[in-house]
Amino acid sequence: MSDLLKPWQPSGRDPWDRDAASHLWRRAGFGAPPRLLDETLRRSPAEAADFVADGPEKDPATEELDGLHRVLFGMESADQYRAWLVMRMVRCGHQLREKTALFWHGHFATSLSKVREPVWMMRQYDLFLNLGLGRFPKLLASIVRDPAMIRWLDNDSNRKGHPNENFARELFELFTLGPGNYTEKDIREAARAFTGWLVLNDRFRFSKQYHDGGTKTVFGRTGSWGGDDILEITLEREACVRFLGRKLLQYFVVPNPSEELVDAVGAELRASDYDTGAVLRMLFRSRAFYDPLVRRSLVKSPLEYTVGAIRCLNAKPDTAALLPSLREMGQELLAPPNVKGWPGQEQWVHTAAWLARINTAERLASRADVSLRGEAAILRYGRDLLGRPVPDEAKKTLLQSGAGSRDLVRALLSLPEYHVN
Amino acid sequence: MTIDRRTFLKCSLCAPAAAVVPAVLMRAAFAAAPSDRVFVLLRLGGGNDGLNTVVPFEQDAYYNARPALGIGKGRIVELAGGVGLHPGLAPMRAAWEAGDLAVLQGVGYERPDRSHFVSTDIWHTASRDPQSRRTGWAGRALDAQAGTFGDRIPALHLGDEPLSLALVGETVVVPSVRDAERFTVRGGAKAAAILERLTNGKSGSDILETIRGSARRAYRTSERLSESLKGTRERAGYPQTPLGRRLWQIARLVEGGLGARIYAASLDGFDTHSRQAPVHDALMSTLGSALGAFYDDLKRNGMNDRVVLMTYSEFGRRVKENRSLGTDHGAAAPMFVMGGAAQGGLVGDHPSLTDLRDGDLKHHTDFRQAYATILERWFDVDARKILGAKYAPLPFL
Repeated sequence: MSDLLKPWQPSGRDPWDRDAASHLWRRAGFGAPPRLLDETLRRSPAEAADFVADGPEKDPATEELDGLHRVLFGMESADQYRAWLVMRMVRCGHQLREKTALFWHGHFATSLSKVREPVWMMRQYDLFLNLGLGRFPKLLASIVRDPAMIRWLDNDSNRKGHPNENFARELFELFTLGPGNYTEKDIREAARAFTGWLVLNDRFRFSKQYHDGGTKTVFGRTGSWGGDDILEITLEREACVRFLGRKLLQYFVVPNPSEELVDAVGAELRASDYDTGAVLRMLFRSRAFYDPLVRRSLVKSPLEYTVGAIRCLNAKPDTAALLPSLREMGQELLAPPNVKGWPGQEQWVHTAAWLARINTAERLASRADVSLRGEAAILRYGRDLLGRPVPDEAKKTLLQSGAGSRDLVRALLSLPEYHVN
Repeated sequence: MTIDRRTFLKCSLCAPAAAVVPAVLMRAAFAAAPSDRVFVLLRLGGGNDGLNTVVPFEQDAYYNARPALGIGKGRIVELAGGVGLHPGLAPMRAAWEAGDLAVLQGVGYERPDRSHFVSTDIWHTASRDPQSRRTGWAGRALDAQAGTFGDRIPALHLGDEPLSLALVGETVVVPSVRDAERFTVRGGAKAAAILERLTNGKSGSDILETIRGSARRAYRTSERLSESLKGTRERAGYPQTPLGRRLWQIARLVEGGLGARIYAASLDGFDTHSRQAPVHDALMSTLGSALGAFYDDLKRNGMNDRVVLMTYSEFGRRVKENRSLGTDHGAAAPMFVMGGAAQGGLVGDHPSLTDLRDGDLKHHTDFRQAYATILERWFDVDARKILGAKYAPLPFL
């Protein structure tokens, strides 16, 4: 194992403290309310990583929300399902499951704008919730059979004799290998292997009649490959573990991971047969994860920002009312901007998105539980949001402003320091 | 690759060459002073089907390759030289007839990349080298004029999507807004003043500094936009579409003295792999009606000589339609350049429909030639420096 992935050993200068524990919850989830942080600090870092990776044994909030699942499918409303997803992020104890599902949604970015069937989109997101922490090959095999994905990338018109290359191209470019790791010919041949993978009566169906059973050569390997063969050949590529490793690191750890770290995570993915959950568990224990330079190196996504604020301030969530704000901030669930997903980092905070953020702060503050006032409010709410004390300069500005509690919370939510993760 | 002399001479409205060159220079000379000039960059996202945009309706090869998707000759808005516009672009006829619309044909680049993302980046950065794709061509053009902006906003991106890479410079940072009329801080000036002071922190990482910069820019842009839009006229003549709204806002901001040199906007949805016709027809109407209204507005309100608009898309689509009544990713495609300073007409021939490469149209004009033309003749900056090589300008400005 690479040194980078060895378990982190806290020390006097690099302690297991509130800052470290809130870092863990911000990355593996959507932030932690003060009480959960206290509880986390009673465990060792390794135990905390296990707690995060396993989720709580029993979680009433999850049970309650799961109970609504069938009702949602009957309603066939994308917005109701979106509000339910955001509520899960706010309330579910197994935060990593929700966070990872969102990762896969961005990875296999599919949009209702073209799919047009809310229930298909809901079923796809269910895959991310149910398989997201398992083995990637299984998730991938499910995704290529997913009706929303099939329609999204036009595989329903990929037929013997007239292949449609859209799915094969994105499979290599965005889902498994990354640009530069395949040729146009690989795409054309792979597209033939997925001919006849269709949707019939809302379900996946393999049509032998439309399938091209001929010989194909992909990555130099020749055979009468079918779609699953292509997936297997692709998953064996070295580029695949590195591509996936890099994306996991960019989402959970650091925007520009070193090649050494990418190699290390790639090797763990390979060794575990792409066990995402196991690799994340290792990451959340690792030295690399707790590196001070890694903390607060990411920009909060709109969901991390809003859900985190609700959780850290114990605010009353009205997630349906948040949906328009999320859209304005650039993160509408079930509708990523394109098949590449949300670009993240600097792109989350371009001026238009920033203005939407600070205007959302007003809404969030209006639902927060604010019993403290003045300096006490600044110190307490600031610490709960930032995971460390409010910077002196900001504290001075806020004190001078003479603002009321809600305006103070709004200002804290608008503090640039709150928007790094 | 540069446009050769023969191609140049063959294009229908620009022969003979001897008469053209002085006319080109004259138009530029009569145009607005460089600091008043505005450039609008309009992206057609997803890979626009150029062949059904500027249609070679006299060629059987077109109808043979497009048995279902071919647009009937009777519906075409005829231009010249055997090509015409998609019927949805009919509102652009006024600009064409006034000599204010140039149609650049056969534009692309060598070894075309068929990935949306890679090709979009290539167009935005004007670079084939992935390592050097950090800044955009228009952003570098702004860098080159950085000293002239004063405290004005150098350029503005309007749209739901993040800032276009085309506008990313080394030193100049461009704000983006979703809707210029609603770019306001809730809570008014008092709240905004406090929030602005909160961006004064010093310590922290580069990314935190990026966020602070963006926040300050947002507050400042909000002020400037509301100043420039104060007391603007009603939105008449524009279609009720996001693109119509954005072009209307651009015209008002130009008129209201925002001072931005470049505006960028986009129209998405051109990735028509299946059942293309209704989608593409609607997109063409959206584009045509918005551009027609914009042109009319600029002309009526005395701004036409100050504004040049250019459209582009990451690639065209394959000549032969696919069996899902759509088209797959292709290569060369046309671009439009519109404005009083534009030298109207066709620039370059329509690419051959029979001499194809991998089923795609071959380009004869590099997109960087179009950029070089804008850079040299509209912005008066050194195109070679910005594009990294010398590209022969085209006779459209």
